[in-house]
Amino acid sequence: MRALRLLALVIIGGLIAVGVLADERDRTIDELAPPVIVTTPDARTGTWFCAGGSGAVGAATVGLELVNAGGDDAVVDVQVVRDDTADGQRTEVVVPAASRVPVNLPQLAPEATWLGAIVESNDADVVVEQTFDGLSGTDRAPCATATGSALYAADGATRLLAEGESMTLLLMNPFQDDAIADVRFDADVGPDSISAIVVPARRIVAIDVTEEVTVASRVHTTIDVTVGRLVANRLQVRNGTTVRGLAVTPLVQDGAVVSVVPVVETRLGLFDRLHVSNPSAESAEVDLEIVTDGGATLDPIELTVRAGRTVVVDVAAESRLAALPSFSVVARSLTGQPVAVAVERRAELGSDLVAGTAAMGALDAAATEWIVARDGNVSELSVVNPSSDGIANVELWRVSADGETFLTSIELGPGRRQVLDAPDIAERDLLRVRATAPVVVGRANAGFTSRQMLAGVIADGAVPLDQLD
Amino acid sequence: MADIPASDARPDAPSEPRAATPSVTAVVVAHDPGAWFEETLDSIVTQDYPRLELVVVDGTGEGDLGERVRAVAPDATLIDASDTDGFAAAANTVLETDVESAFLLVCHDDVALAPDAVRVLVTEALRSNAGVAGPKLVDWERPEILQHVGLSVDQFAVAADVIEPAERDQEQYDRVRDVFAVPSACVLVRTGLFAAIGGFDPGITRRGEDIDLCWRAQLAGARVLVVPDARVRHRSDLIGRTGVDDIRRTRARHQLRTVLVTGGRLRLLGTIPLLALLSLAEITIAAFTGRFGQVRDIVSAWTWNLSRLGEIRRRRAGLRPKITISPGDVRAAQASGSVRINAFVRGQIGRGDRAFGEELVTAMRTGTTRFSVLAWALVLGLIVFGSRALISDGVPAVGDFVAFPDSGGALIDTWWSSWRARDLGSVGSTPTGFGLLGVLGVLLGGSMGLVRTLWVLGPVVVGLIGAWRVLSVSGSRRAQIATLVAYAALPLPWAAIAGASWTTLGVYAVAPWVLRALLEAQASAPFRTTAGPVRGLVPAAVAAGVAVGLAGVFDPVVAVVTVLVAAGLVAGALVAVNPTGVVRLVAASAGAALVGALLTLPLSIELLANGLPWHPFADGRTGDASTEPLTDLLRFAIGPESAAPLTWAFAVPMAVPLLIGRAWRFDLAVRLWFVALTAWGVALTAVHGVVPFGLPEPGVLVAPAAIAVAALCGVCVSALEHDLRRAGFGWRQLLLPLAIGAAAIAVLPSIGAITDGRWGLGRGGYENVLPLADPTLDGSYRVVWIGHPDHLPAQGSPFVADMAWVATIDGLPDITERSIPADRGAHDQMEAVLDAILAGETSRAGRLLGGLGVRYVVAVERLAPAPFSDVDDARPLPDALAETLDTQLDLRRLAGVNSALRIYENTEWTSVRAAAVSSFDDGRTTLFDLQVAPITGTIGVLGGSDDRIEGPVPDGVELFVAQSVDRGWRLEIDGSEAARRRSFDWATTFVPAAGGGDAVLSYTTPRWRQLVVVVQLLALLGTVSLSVRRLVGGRR
Repeated sequence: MRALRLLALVIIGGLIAVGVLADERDRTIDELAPPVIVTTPDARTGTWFCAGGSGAVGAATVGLELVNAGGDDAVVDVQVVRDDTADGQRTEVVVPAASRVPVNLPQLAPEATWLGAIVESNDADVVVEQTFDGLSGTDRAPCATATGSALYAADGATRLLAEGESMTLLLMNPFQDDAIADVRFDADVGPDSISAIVVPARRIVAIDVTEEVTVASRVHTTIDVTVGRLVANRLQVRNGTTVRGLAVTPLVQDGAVVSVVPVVETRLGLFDRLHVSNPSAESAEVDLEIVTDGGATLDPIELTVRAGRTVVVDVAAESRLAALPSFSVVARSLTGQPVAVAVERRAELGSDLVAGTAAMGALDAAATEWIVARDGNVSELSVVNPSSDGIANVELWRVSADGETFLTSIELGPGRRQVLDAPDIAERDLLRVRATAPVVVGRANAGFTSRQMLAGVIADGAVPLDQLD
Repeated sequence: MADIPASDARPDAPSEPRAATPSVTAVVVAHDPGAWFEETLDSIVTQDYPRLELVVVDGTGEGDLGERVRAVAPDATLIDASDTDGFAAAANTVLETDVESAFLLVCHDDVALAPDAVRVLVTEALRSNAGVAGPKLVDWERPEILQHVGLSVDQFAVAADVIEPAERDQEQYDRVRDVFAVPSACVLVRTGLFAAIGGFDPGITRRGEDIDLCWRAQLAGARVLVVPDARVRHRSDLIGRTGVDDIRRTRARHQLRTVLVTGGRLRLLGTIPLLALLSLAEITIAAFTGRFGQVRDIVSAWTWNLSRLGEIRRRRAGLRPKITISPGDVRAAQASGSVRINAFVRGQIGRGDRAFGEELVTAMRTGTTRFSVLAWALVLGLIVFGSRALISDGVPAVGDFVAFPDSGGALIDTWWSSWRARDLGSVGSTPTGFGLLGVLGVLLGGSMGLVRTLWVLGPVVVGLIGAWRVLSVSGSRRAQIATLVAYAALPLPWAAIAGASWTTLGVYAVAPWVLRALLEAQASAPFRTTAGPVRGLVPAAVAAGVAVGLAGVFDPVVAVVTVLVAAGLVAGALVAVNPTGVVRLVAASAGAALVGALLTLPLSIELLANGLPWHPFADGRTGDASTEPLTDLLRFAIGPESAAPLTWAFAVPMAVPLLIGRAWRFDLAVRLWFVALTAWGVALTAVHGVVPFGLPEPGVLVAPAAIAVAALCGVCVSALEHDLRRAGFGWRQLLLPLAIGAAAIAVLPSIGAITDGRWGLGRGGYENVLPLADPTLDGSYRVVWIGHPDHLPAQGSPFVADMAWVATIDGLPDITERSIPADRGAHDQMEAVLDAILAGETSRAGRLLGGLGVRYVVAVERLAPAPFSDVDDARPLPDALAETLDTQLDLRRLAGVNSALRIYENTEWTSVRAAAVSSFDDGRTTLFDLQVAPITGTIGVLGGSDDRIEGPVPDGVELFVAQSVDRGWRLEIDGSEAARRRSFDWATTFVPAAGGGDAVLSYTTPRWRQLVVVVQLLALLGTVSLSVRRLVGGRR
């Protein structure tokens, strides 16, 4: 009996001890991972938020271009979002396979001063881009496929009388609940802010920055959305004696730890400036890695960006970059805070180049497949392999009513970029870029009177850049 | 006393020319008596009373009664009363003669009087001025056994003896006393009184005539005495002589007749409803215990009297002039309360023997029984006190404690239909338990609040009764008390109430019964005597199955208790190197599963038909890890109210039988320990997310450990009783004070928990904080609830992480929607939409959900709304999910709602039953086609119950019904059946043959399903009947 008692006590005690020890082990409590949402336009989402521009008589009359890079006709639903209380018109558009259909938004809402659109399609081959046309030029940008709770406009100017510069922010709330945002301006003439701007549900609110921050040659804007989420466009008009152009740029959403500016140039007459904003409460150490086609290897530009401030890098002023006609930049926040990076281009009047202005935000994602709708008589397609160790074989295909046609391919080493070109690419071709590893695609267009810088649109295989390695 | 001769009214005043000794006429009413009759006659003839005449009334006219009488008493007068029916009418014939004696001594033909009986009776009657006097009746064969010493009678004319069954005569009652009645076996009554009140009631054939006579005599102002010095032996074998056992029937009839005849008008207004209520209760109990003869007798008592109302009225009228004293004075002489209830409590109603009552009375004289009663009273008193707010204010509709429909009928209707409206609609049975609750609601006059309170608190009491019985075979009442108190003192049931977990309460109720049954099946000591197992394998298996089945009709999840207990017992038997009965245990578990399946029939068939899905048992859990530490599981701290550290004190009594127990105490302790360890182990694996599928909530898993802990406390007491005394002086002696001290400490937290009167359950539910639209305005809609399974208002389907979902119609669910059916219909459509939302694949969740009839998405983050719940107990929606919901283009978050919720209104919703233009779904073959081309141009139509919806339908439209397709549904418009087609690959659109009109959308439950339910009901009825019989039958 005694042995049995001892045995029972030992087993029971042992089991309790095992239980206690087992309970000490860390549990794998599955936290619901947030969905991978990148702010780089992604056609697979099927929902496009076009923060828009002005109506028929404004400085940047907005239109849409619906691009179907697929083999089947696509049905696209367009709902106009306006700045007044009138109901947004809705229209259904059938976009034939391998074609592009323009939508004249002001025609749908002639009375609207400012208007944008929510465009929906259940076809992952459909891309929606917004086009702008004004007295000072034209511009183009993909509509956003994500909304943000923090938005950054890296640059702007409001010297209306002296340089003909005016700046307008368009905040669009595509959701059913009102959003509230605080807007903070960091200008060379001093800071300013607007608190608690209400952006009603399904409405656009325009902020005339020229009125808020007068006579500033440089205005960095930060928008904190305290309730809801927004998309926004910055309309920058320059109508001065040296620079003239229209740049409508989607605001950078939320920032990123790693992002890529695919197109930067140092050609004579072009003035590219990189803007790095640190919206966090602590200083950020940011490296701007220069990505070339392999002909040169340069040390990164090392920046310390103080909390809430913006650092501007004038590429033309960096003499060591002068030898590089074009390159890309990978912005990497070494201290881990997301930073907002954008590039602005200016080509002054009187040079040999097409004058104008353009701007784009850095891309936060790479992908294995991109859709590019060519525009402009000069269009440069830049492909960046942001990986540190993988080679990407990149192919360029043309999409037409007859199907897809292979144009060219390149092998892109890790940390390299290259311009994709083929001899028989037409001005308005629809292109697909396919790669064996995630790459970043950007484009720089130049027409006869205007310049554009914009990203490609992801079609498949998106990977956030900070998760790439 | 106007009709009573003065000489009788004043017996102490001698009258001339009568002699000083009053004359007595002995009236023996004979009904074909047996051989004893001569002894009866002889006992009268040989009385020492000088003026005694004998009259024999022949009630049957059969046999040679005259000769027999003459042989013994040649001077006796013989009256032929063969034309009468029964003792009373026969006895009354004496009034038709010229009887002149002062007293009548009315006797049965089976009594034998002591030689001085008449003298003693007359003397006392004269001395005490009594109108009626009765002797002490003793057993014919065993005169030392008392039979009657007067009767106590209540307001319902139900008599009870003042003595106890088979009580020995030790002269303990030998004192002249006023009683309410004396038996008619031998009764001395003043002749004038007898004549004045019309003798016995001739309508009472046998049984009850004596009570009726004495009652009327008292109304006439007479005293009724029992004179124990007068001793009469009585055979009292009427059943044996007549061959008819009609005691219950005749008593019931005659008691009611007496009440109706003797009661005052005002008093009858109170008495009759009470009597009716008692009869109803007795009928209910008798029906449940299968005593249908008793039901018949009680019913016939009412019909018999109602058919004789004219006769009763005449007797009332005849009695009225004789009444000389207030009926209130008579009432004061009656027994208080109900003799019937007392008798039932003592087990005397419906039982052929008196062993139980006798046993109880005997037992009550012992200290342990008194202690038991005290313990039960204390435990139940504390429970009632601790639940006072729940009892008085009702149970708020939170968690599992879902609201009930307004009426029992509605509950029954929903249960009878096989259409389940929850989620997206499906065919499946509503648990039969809810149908039974509906019946209970009807029986309680529609008091569904009371039914609901009983539904919540009842399992606790059932569990305690089960705990009481677990160790009843041990022979130690103290062990039973310890088990009972420990089971009540463990935090589990109170935490379950605080967390609104009915499933945990259900398992708490069932676990002791299953444990006991499986221990019996295992048949190790003490569940085995030298004669063999205390219960056979089959009965034990049936008992376990019945326990699980009866709880399973409310919630099938409780079935897990069988597995856990059986596994623990097997492991314990192996460790104790006493594998006896392991095979029996396994067989019993299998048998229990079969019985449980029978009792939960529709559901068990549905489970089989659907390939034994696991989701009905997972309670919406995914199998992911959760945060409960082992220490909480060990202390049963599973609810929002965390248990006090004092609960650890239970460890001491748990350890004692392991340390000092011998024989079966040690063996049983080991097995119980392993039951507890198994339950805790499974719960630990569940909270660590070890198993790849969802397990029931931790409270359910640890419930078997709770009864094991409680039973170990009982075994501890047994060990202290038996084994400590064998041990020599040493450390073991310290265990007694240590165990007592630990027990005292361990119960403190539960006593402390009674302060708020609601065990920590919130004071209010969500019914008043949800800003949901009135479905009668825009049409019915669905609400999708997302949240932690503990917080959802019904059992959910797993969603993601520790979140589940459930969809209901038109707002909060009621109890019929609580359980999740085996067949979930088109639930995959909802899950596809939710997955798409979660993955960020759609920004048009509203359109997709609109196609499912969903108008609101409600994320429940706490069990109860603020301020009735603590923010620390919140399980917020994961940020990622909240963000994806916030960024839907067609979901509008309703602001300013309670902080325990997030509510989104779908701006693109479609009614569950929508009139739509015929092209509303053109080109949209699947739900996800709605992302770009939503449903437009619809209006909500029709309203009504779940399976019959009516209303006008406009001309030229189709009816889109957003619920799972089933052929049982049909739409008729002005009597013409509409055609149907499938929409979006999951729903139905009805296409009217002609124009609009009055439409009826109805569901027809298949006959075979109803047949299965009837079979289940019969099985349940039989089971309950057998169980109650067994319980009332007194087997321990």
